[in-house]
Amino acid sequence: MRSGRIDVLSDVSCIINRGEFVSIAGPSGCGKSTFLKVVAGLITPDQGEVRLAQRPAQAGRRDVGILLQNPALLPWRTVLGNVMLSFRIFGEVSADAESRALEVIRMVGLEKFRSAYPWQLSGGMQQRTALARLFAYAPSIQLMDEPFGALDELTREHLNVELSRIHELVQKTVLFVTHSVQEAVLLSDRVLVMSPGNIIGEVTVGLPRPRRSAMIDDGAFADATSQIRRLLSVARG
Amino acid sequence: MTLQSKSAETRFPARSANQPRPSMLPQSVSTVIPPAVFFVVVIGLWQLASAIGLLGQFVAPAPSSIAHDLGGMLGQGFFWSSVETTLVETVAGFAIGVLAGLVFGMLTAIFPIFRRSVYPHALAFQIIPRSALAPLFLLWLGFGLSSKIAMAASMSFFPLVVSTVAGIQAVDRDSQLLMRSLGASRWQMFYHLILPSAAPLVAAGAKLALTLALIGSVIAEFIGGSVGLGVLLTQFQQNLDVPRVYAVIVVLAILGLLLYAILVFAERKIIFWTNKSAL
Repeated sequence: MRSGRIDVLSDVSCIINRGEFVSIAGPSGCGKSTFLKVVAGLITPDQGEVRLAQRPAQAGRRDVGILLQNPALLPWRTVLGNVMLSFRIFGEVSADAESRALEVIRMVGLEKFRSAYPWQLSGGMQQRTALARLFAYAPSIQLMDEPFGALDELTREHLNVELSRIHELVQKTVLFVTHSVQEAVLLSDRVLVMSPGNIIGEVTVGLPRPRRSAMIDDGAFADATSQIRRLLSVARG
Repeated sequence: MTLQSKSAETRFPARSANQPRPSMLPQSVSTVIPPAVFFVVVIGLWQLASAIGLLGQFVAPAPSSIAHDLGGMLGQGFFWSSVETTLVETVAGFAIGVLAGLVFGMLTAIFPIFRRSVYPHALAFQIIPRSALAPLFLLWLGFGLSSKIAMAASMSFFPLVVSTVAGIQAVDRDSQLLMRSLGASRWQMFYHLILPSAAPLVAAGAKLALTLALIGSVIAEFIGGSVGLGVLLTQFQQNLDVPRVYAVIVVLAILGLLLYAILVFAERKIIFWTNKSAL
């Protein structure tokens, strides 16, 4: 994977199973966001191959959706209008689509704000709207690039638990990029640890579902966390 | 599944700092009263200075005599036909210039080959004082409306080019990524994202263009016109009718302000989301 003259990614081989929640944890600049964009088909790699449900990665696939750190909401559209964006792009605006959008808005707890504009919402509520926009068209593969990285600790924890619950409800495949070890463990079935350009190991999280924030005190949580930290310190040398 | 949002997140409908305050009265008082008072004081001092002979009537006639002459003109047909002519020239020139600038700006922002080959010439063209083109427009289009409209349009054109290019380049990168991931076509990208994103800057350019359009039509009338406020101005000047020169300037100011106010009103209706930054 070349960007300019620097190899950003070299060995990032991995397999992610259907319905699995997998996080990629690693220090800033290790290439985890780039990796996610390659998987999303937004960046074409110079070498290597990404296959999602038997088909090569490509932007614009309906079964693949992304969620970024920046909620990237359209300020001229209401919460409902933003959540309807995918249907508008697919040319499927209908009463059915709208009731589907309202359903996911309810799911993320924003039913009272469906007519509000993004600039009337807090950062956490904006990111909930972005989540609803993703869930609305229910892509079976959901790629999330540090979606809660810009939020305060409390809001982040709250949204982690919500995302976890929704994930158990909808059973989609999630690839989640984060630099927070705690977030990775709390949400994931499996955590891939990245050092610059490489995946250097993986840790399976033995916590039961549904996940709750109280599990942070669990023995299995501490286990997974310390394994990841050990891998990260090896990566740092 | 319904999930309660935390109290820390429920900020709606709390107002952010840049939204208007609930009561309109204190705000309108604070925005209208100070400039009104200042205006009255300045005019009063001017009147006083004229009355005690500090200001010569030839240089700066008393506000009362300007108002008197202005009132006299309001009842005359030539005055209203002048206003109409200048208004038509300005608005038509503005519309043409804005449209052309918008199209040119889009071509520049969207097609790299256009930006490299044609855009530098537009920049160079901008260096030419536009008043120097007025004689050419007269030669080409004659002494009627069209040469004035061409002048106003040429003045309006460039601010729109610059603001359209800037507006299109200011599109949020993450929103573009998102649109691409949804498989948006070029047209959908343009219509759903780029056009509304660029609108606030385009509107800023349009406001600048409007004031320039008025300047353009008046300059063109100076150089060769038969009707219009610019023509009236030169006639009164040649007759050394100073109060009426001032009166026409006042009318031009009011005309410009009215057009500007209409534009700002439309802008606030259409681009309602600006100045309300995302958190």
